[in-house]
Amino acid sequence: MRLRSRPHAPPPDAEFETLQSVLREPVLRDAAAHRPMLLAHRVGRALRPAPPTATDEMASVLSRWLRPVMVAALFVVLSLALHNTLVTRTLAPTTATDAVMGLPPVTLATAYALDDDR
Amino acid sequence: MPVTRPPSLRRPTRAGSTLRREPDAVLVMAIRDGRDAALRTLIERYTPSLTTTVIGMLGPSAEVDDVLQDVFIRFYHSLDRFELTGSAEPYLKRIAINRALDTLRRRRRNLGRFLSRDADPSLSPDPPRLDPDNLERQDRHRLVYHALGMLSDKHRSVVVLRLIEGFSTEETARILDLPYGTVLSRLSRALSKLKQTLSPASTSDLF
Repeated sequence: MRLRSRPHAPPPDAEFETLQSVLREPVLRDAAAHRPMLLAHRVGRALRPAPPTATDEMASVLSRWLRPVMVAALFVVLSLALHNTLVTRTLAPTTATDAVMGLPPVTLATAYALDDDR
Repeated sequence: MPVTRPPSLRRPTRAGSTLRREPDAVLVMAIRDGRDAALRTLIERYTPSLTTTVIGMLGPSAEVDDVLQDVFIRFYHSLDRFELTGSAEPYLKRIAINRALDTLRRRRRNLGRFLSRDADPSLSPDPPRLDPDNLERQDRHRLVYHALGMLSDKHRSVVVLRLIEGFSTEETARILDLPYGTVLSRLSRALSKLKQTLSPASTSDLF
């Protein structure tokens, strides 16, 4: 950091210097006595990504294997949902089989009215 | 910010001891290149100076190491956001001051919530009880830290940089990113407060 001259800056007086020395002494002494424990090591470890554990490895392999299965399952589920929707839209009260066999549409009432002996 | 790396830094054969003589800008580029030795060198270079800053702000406490660690981690993560041409010290000092202020705020919040005010001398309105006739060094230390603790955050950071660390007023202004006049006025108010706090218990011995 390069300094520019400040001709108007007030010169430090004696009181300033006394106060400065009073404040500096304990702080500089404590700072000199302070030894940060393995600071570079701690910083390096904090910056480095942690090595993967066995659990992380297994989770990674499983997710890799199961990803296609999950995609296929999702596709099947969506297809079934679509199919059901389409079938529901085109469903007639009487199905083709019912019509061929001359059966009435199956409702709750007709179900109760069925003769058990037939 | 993309930085053109000097060809010499691409050579992986340079020993760590050589890095110690390199200026900060070269070290920073080496760190960007992923060289752990350069980061270690920078940490070793500035740890003593930053320790003084942090102890001046927080007092000797268990939080000092955590703040120092955080300073270098934040500096590392901010390397891509600026281009260093001179010393890294002003950047590191500014980060250290900000982290120390965060710690002070957190300390106050926690103490206000859970503990009595007596637990932290920097929060106590009463100075340590000292016998002016028998002011031992330890008592003076306590008194000084108490006086620093009685300063507001913005005054304390100016006092630590200007008085304790001996930076010029202009350097202090640059580190704190403040106008020159603001530093002078804060320093003046801080000095008044310090003199008020340090007297009368010990002024007979201190001044």
